[in-house]
Amino acid sequence: MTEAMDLDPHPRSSLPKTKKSLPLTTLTLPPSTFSYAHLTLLSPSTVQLDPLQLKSYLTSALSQFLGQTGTAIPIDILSVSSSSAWVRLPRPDLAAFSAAIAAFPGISSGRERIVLKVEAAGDYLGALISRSKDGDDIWGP
Amino acid sequence: MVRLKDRYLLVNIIYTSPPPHSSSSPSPVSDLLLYNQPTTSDLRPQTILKDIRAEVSSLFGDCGSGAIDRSLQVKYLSPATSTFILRVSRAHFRLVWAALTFMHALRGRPCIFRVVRISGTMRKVEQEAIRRARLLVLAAKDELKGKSSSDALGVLLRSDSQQQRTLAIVGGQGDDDEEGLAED
Repeated sequence: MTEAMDLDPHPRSSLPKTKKSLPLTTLTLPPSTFSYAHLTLLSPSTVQLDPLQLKSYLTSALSQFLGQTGTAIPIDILSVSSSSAWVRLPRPDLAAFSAAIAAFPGISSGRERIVLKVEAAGDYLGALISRSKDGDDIWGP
Repeated sequence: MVRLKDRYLLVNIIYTSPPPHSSSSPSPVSDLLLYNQPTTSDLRPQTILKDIRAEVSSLFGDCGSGAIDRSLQVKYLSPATSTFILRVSRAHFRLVWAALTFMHALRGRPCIFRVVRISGTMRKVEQEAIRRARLLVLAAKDELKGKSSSDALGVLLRSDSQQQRTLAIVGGQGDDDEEGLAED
């Protein structure tokens, strides 16, 4: 009887052990060359923003905070709407640029003051857009 | 204890034209004496500091001038040798170095500012200043005696490793005596 119990009706040879899952491929994202920033214009009256106005505001902000090396930062204006803008700049300069915009006292004409605000800044444009109000419909309803 | 680290810059002022009110001596001055001519003795450290601060503010804006302002000081100024020692904070000494490179005039006279030594301690910079002053005096003496001085200018423009060999040839032994740098 003990033999019968010892016998296994379905003797199983050693099962092949499941291998640990191996990665099929690996990819390391290199640091991106450019960074992107979403700027908003804050002004009491309705002041329309256009690319030249934006460029002059940025130049004024950068030259005040960072001098001539600040104005030498190559900034590409990607898109400008009436009150906001998207710009692209080299990645190492993003910190200095954000600080310059934050420290910018603005352009004051009379008693009104026009100020720029950095809504979002980062390395990947898709992530920034989808976070903003404009990008609600990018990733689906 | 937090250590505040600084860098000490040894800077030469190099002029390219004879002094404006020099005596009317039409004889051409050698290049060595022309470039290293002394500055008028009414040059004050505050003038240099003001110029440097203005240049840093122009090049690097508010951020730059705030970064260097903490410990920017002229530690030693010698109008006779047109040399001064500048102290800057270690993290931002390149801003001041760049500003010195861009400065092209001192009180109206065109000149260039040449940084010849950077060190973390004042003592090494002093030793270098003494060594260069000694080389300059010896080379100037050779010039005035009319010896072939094709190498005199090179002596002062060459880098350190070659200068050590030249120092032995010219006759200086080493820094056995600490000459005081207080000239004023």
